[in-house]
Amino acid sequence: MLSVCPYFHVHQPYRVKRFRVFDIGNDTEYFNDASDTDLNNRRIAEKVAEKSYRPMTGVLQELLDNHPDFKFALSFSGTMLEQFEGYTPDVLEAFQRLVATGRVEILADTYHHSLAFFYSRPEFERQVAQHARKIKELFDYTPRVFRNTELSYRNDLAKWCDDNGYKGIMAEGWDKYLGWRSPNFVYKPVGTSNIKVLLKNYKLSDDIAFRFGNRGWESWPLSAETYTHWIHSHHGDGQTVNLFMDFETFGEHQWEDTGIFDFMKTMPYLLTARGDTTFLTPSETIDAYEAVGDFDVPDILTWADTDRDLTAWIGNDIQRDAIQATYDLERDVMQSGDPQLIETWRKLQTSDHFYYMCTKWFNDGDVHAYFSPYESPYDAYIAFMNALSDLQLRVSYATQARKHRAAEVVTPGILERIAAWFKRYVSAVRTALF
Amino acid sequence: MNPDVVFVISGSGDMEHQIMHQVGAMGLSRHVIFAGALWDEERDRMYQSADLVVMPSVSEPFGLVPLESLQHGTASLITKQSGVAEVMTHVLKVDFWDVEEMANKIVAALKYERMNGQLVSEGKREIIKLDWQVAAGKLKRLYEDMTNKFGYKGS
Repeated sequence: MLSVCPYFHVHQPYRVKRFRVFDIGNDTEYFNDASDTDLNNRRIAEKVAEKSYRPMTGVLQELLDNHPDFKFALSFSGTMLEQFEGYTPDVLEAFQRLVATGRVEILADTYHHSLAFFYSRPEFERQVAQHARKIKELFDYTPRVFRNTELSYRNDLAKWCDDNGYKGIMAEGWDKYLGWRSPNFVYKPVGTSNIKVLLKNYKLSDDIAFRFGNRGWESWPLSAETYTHWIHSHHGDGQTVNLFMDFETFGEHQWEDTGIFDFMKTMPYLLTARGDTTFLTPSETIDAYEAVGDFDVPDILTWADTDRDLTAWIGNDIQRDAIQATYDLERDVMQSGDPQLIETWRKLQTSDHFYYMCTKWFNDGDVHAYFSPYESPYDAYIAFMNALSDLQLRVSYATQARKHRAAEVVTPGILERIAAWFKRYVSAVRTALF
Repeated sequence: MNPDVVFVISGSGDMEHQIMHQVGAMGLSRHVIFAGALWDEERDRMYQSADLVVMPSVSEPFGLVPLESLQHGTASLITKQSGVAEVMTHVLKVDFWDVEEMANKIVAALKYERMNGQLVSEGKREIIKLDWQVAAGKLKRLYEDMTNKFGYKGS
């Protein structure tokens, strides 16, 4: 038997507008760009809804309604869910209908699609809890399998998931850590007791996610028959074929005219035409198979580009400066106790902000790889750091205000009044008891 | 925003007197130095001691200033309307008319030292690729392609 485990990740950040140095101290809205550029979050949400979310949820619903075995998993960032609620509520409803069929698993994640795990464990835990509450609220669902931002993975993250009751975690099936072994088996993260890790088959996943519409690719145009044949060829040398990719692959990264929707409509039927092939969710995959060995990843592994690490987010000086400055604010932000400031700080933790500051492709001459709503990585950094500076100012005002209010409460006479009240209380208790 | 900033305006031109009058009228004399045209060692020292070099060209076929600036370890802000903007990543860029954005980027360059540092270290690596040999080679290949295409033979 061979099972196929499809998983799609749905995410949009709150992009920071062109926040100028003169806006510091004068504008508390960082995410409300209203221009025609790609900094306009509403505009992007509506555009991607039209190209991807609406059509693909339609395709998936049709498959769930008509194909007896089709199943898959989804993950949503909290920032995406909020944007659905604010800009395209019909898309949220479409996803809710998919989940209501009972054949769609939702994975746990950080609410703000952040790299908090690697900078602040307490903040990471708060964001995971916040995410769980949102998923419960919108889908009445409790995730059992975890995935971290950009499918980032490391041994200590797996250990945290194991200690916190998750039965599974997702990771990239990268050769560096697999060696000669295949990603088509279930493994146990090293140093854990119960949890299992599911590894993305990057060849087959990226064939759809990256290569599908590329006319220069030797396998273009990819037919559903050919792809099904590639998957079936793993009968006998694998337990599961894990196909993990961004949801926006369907319609946004791979446009409709590549034939991607027709491909996805047909492929599941061809896969299960061979009787010993089926679809399983991540949880079902974990329950179905024993782990065949350990998976040991001491460094950060992600599903990103050829390096499969975090260099696209923290590979240069300005990125490291920006992300460190963000987490350096943690103590002051949390101490302010102001929910709005805390939430704004969290929106600034979304990994995309740092991604836009990446310069690695420019060095390789591959300018086309720079997908960003900013004209340059430096524009991204300046807007971000100005917004962070404004937040820093607001946090220090809020903290000062809190200190003044506390000082007002503790007036000279208050301690005497408290002592007098306490004496009366003790005396009343004594009278009642004796 | 930053009361210690000093602007040095170097070079000469037909608007020089107008700018001087404007500086005086706005009471900015303490913050603006007119250095005049600078050459050789004086020019090099100016690049080295500056925190940011600004080339606000309305129109510039290429513009060697950002390259010279990088050779002396200083980042620069140039306009998108200059030729050099097409071949460099690690410079700050702005439209010549967008004075607010120009000011925004100047203040940012002074405020965010890590960015300034990266503009210099990465910019220095970038300008190594800007070589007359490379440009001449490309032009030669273009001539060769075109003569082959139209069937001309010969040297």
